[in-house]
Amino acid sequence: MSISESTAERYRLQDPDVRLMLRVRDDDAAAFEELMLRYQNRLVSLLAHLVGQRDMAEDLAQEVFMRVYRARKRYVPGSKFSTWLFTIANNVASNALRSLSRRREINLAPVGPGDTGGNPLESAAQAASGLMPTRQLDKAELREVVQLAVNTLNDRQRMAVLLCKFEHLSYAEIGEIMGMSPQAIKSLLSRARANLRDVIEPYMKQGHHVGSPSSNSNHEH
Amino acid sequence: MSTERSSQDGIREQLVAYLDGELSPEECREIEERLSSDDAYCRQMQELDDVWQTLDELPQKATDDSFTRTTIEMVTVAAENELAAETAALPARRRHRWLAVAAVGVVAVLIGFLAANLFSPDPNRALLADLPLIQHIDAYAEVGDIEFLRKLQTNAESIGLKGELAKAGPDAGELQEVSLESPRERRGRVARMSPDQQAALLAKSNRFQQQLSRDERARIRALHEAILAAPDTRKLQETLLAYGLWLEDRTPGERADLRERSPTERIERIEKLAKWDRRREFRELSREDAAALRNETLSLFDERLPFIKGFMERDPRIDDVDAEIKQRRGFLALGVAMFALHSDRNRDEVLDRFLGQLSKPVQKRMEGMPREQAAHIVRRWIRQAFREDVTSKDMERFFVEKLDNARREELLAMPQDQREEALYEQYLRENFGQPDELEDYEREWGRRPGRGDGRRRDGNGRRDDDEMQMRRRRAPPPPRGDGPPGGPPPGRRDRDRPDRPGPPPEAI
Repeated sequence: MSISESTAERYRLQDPDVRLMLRVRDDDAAAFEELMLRYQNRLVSLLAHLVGQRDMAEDLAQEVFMRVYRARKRYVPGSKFSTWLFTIANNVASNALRSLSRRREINLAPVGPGDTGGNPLESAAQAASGLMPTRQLDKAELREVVQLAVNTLNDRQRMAVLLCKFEHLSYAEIGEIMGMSPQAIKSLLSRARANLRDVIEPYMKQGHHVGSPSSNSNHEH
Repeated sequence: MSTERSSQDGIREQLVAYLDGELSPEECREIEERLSSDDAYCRQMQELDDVWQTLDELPQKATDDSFTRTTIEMVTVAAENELAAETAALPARRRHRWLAVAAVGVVAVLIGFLAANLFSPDPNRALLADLPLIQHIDAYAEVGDIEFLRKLQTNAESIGLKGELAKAGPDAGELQEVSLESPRERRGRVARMSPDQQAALLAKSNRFQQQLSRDERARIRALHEAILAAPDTRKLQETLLAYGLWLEDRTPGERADLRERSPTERIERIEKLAKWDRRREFRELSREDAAALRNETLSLFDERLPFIKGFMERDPRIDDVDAEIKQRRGFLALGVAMFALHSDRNRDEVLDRFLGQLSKPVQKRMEGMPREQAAHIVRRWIRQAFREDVTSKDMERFFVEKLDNARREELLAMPQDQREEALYEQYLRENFGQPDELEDYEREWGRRPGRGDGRRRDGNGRRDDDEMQMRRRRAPPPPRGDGPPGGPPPGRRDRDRPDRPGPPPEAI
């Protein structure tokens, strides 16, 4: 994307990470290290939730930084640095997930009584609701349920959710990263959150209320 | 239906966008108006928000310094490759001029900065650089040069190194792998180790870095490189590790002696030690047989526990019988076995029981042996099997506090391995009051050929008084209260008292 020099100047002044990246473009090694330190944890977390493997997440994160380094001469500040970085991360993750799905075995066998015909969402919802009877929610168990719910999302839904939730990116920024329009991201996130609710909500109904301090106690469906 | 669903989807999309701050001010007002009057709409929004908040439960992964450093290493390599590619692409006569520029150019600056980060003092970096040596420092430190390793290889069969060579195979494979790994891969390997393994590795690293001289470290590194460069690297590595395994069974004195010899003399000495090991094999049990005897001893103890407990409960000096038993189980079991194999009315049955646990070759060797002799040998083996229940601290305390000067000097004059054996045997003698030295047995049977079972014994199985006198002349008066960890309280291990903790014969 080509932009005017004034736009570039505007971002240079607004985003400190853009300023750092421009120094990396000029082979400033200290700036590169600074950028790494700012983003490595967030990147590894994002990628870990995407691919589900910590070791692979670190490898992928390193690949992202390598691509940033290799592409430094072509960097043009057209948007926030994080958008550019996560665009690279999205590409790296997509490639990895494609490889993983080719390798992964798909189990089509019925899972037993209450078989949902292979619908992972319904299976996850069943699993979540069966996890805990009528006692107070346990943190570790909740984490397990949330992880279960996130795992039921498809790759694009998961990426959009993670970028929205943890990177606090706008629909436009997420769209830029994922190559989709803001409206498409809106729909994507809506479906994703509905899917999350379908898994987590039944579990939450059976225990005390969790979440923000302003939340009330048990809901009725 | 599809219209209704589409409508529901639309409502949800707006609510989600509202929660994400993506709506225009006007759209927000519409939402808020409805929220104030529509409970179901409000609940729907609340549910979506509550679920969204639970995502905070997802763990956030933190990276450590190693991630940063390995990434910088990768970038450094990329930068170097970049520089090399750019110079290679130039015509030769321009290359020199370009290099002169590049020497102060930005890519070189980048490399310099990153390299400085790589090579800044970092103890972990030193450990990783020498990881294959450090992991096997015990073996490397004992091997002088490749010449010795090749001689070992040639003489492996006569030395009796075959077993160790087989065991060393997998480790040699790993050594080869680690030798070829990059710093990042080695870092990952170390990170995957358990805490105990990492602690052991750190101890070895400290030994390599701090206890060995610079020359010795250089020598070991040169040996390692020479092995890697040899055409038969794998075989040499197997031999190195096999030698390390074999050395584990040698005393410090023997190892020191070996280190001082030339390769040829060392091989000769190793052959002698191996021969001596084979002659001793009848006196010393294999690890497997020792474990089997140990287990059977503990089983015997558990069977007799009710009687032993009753016996101990009648002893006013024992406050907590259960705690005593728990703490000293090995030692008590040893005592039960000693008694059972010496004085028990069912001694022959007990002896057969123990013999049945031994490997077939050992059983075959024991066939036809007089029962007394067999019982004596099995007792000795059981004492060896419970050696680990006696710590070096107990032995040291016994040596320092319980022996007289004459005995200490007598022991100190022995080679270390013989000294340790003699001390241990005496330690047990003092606690169990029974003959145990093979020399004692041999002396006795040598004095009274064909005596069989006719030795005069007191009610607790001890030998004639003259034999006791001879032993007392050699050993000091019995210690009061020494034993394995948690040993008997003072006064318990009195030679004049019945053997403990065996129950009275009539109770069995």
